[in-house]
Amino acid sequence: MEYNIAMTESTNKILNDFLLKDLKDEEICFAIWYPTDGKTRFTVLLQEVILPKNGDRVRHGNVSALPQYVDRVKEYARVKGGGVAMIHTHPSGNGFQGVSGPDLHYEQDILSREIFGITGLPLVGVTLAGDGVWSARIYPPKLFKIQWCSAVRIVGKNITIQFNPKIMPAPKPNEKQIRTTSVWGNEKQSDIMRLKVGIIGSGSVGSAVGEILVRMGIGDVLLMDYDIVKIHNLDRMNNVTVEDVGKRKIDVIERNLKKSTTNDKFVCKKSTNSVVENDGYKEALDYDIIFSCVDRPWPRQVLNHISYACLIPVIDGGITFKIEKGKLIHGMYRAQTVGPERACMSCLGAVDLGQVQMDRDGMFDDPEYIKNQEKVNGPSRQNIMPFVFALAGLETIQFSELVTNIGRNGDLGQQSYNYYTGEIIPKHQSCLEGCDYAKKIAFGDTQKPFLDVDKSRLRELE
Amino acid sequence: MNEIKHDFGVFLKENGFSYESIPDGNIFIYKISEYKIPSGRYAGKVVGIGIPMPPDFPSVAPYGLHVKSNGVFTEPIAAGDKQSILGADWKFWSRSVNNWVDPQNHNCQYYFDHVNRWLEVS
Repeated sequence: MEYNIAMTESTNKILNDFLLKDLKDEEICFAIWYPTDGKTRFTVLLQEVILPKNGDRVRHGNVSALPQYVDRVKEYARVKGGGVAMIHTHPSGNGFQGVSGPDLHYEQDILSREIFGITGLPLVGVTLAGDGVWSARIYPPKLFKIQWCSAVRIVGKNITIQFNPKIMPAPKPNEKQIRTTSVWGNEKQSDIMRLKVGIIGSGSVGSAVGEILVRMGIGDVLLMDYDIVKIHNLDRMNNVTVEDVGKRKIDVIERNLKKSTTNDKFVCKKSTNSVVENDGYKEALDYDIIFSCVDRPWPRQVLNHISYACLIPVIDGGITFKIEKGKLIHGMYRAQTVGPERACMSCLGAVDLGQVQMDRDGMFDDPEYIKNQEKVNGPSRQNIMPFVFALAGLETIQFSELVTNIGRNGDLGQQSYNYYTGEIIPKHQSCLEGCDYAKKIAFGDTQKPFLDVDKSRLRELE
Repeated sequence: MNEIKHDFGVFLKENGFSYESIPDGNIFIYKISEYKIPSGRYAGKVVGIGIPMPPDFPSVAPYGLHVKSNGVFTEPIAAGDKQSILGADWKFWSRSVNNWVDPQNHNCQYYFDHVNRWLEVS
């Protein structure tokens, strides 16, 4: 099992502002965390910071939390159903920090059992170096032996991942990536190469997004799709030919990505699960960023949920054509990144929560339903390759800004291309008042979305 | 499976309806055997309705309506209309709720207003 920590940019700021205010002595505080348990990765989501009150700790070069403070935090965590993270600083430290003998003894041999006994969740130890770099460890039950987290993920307008160099050492950008590296530098390229990116949906947009990502050097990609290549996919899927008809989309796309990658250690995982089912949901949680390349409302609703509750930014997009009596009335593609400190898909109008249950009932891909609907409304799902590539480009530009911040913008907003005016218009907004997703930030598996059998997947497999 | 936390049953009781709650896969159908249509051209007619509540209502809106027409309606034709699981005399009307984007609309009354509108205009 791999261990990670994640927090929002707001939480990171609260912690940095408090912990690094005075660098003379070490400083300490606690946080309540919630778990999100992927297939191979367990992530600790720091949800709420509990700062010390006067008399709660003693700073003497090092720092000690007094029993009243520890007891208050334990009780609060128990009431909230969360775990406890103990956070302290190494003010003169730079980069990834190890743990000293006395600290390890206190965390591993004393506090870890006590905290688990009260909260049912393992103790998490976190260290912040004077330069703002995080390192973290966890003490899973039974053995209560230290396990180092491989990365700390900070999510908001940007995503910053601080990797544990012992578990995930920085790869060297190579000659194939020289033009890319010249834009954002070796350090950022090295971070990009260690990102784990999930692509949910390996159809037209998913295949193009995958192609762009592997050429950028992404080293670990998940392809999730249960569908096979059909004849009507050939006008839009990247590098897919008539010989691929009948093959699984994920196999065809994996073949293409392996040919196109610029990362010598490229790993591609494939899944025929659906993200709305438990197995697919857990697989998605193993990734740092997810591309939503699905066109049904239920998977998009689940991905929207993941972006807030599990702190995994989701980059989403869509293509719309409106044709009436053979004439184009409207043509548009748009891309948005959702997650904490951004508006969600529902509030942006990118998923209709009035249609999710219809999708759960299996109606969206029901051939009979589609036929009846087209009798009334005319052909549906119109799409063209230029829009597919343009959308994949726009989504991966959103990705580039999210991970590099080279535009010093972070959030490009919802970007919509209008076919008539030829403009890409950005829209910046927050979630609407009362939005459910904004209330779920960092609550992880305690706020799991509704998951069930995907009837569309079952129909496809028959 | 437990009944949804946001208790649609309470809403129905508060509004004077008696109902049966019938599990159907991932949802509960709130079946009202005698429902008097409140307005429109069928005002006063009594039909049966079954309201399918998703487990994560009100975040997700219900989809469609089960209807026992009692001869009141000519059969509505919409893509997705089909036989209901509630019985031979029942049909499932495929209908989506509009503007569930706004969280202020995530409540029982907003959905119920849609039900009445579907019955009025069928």
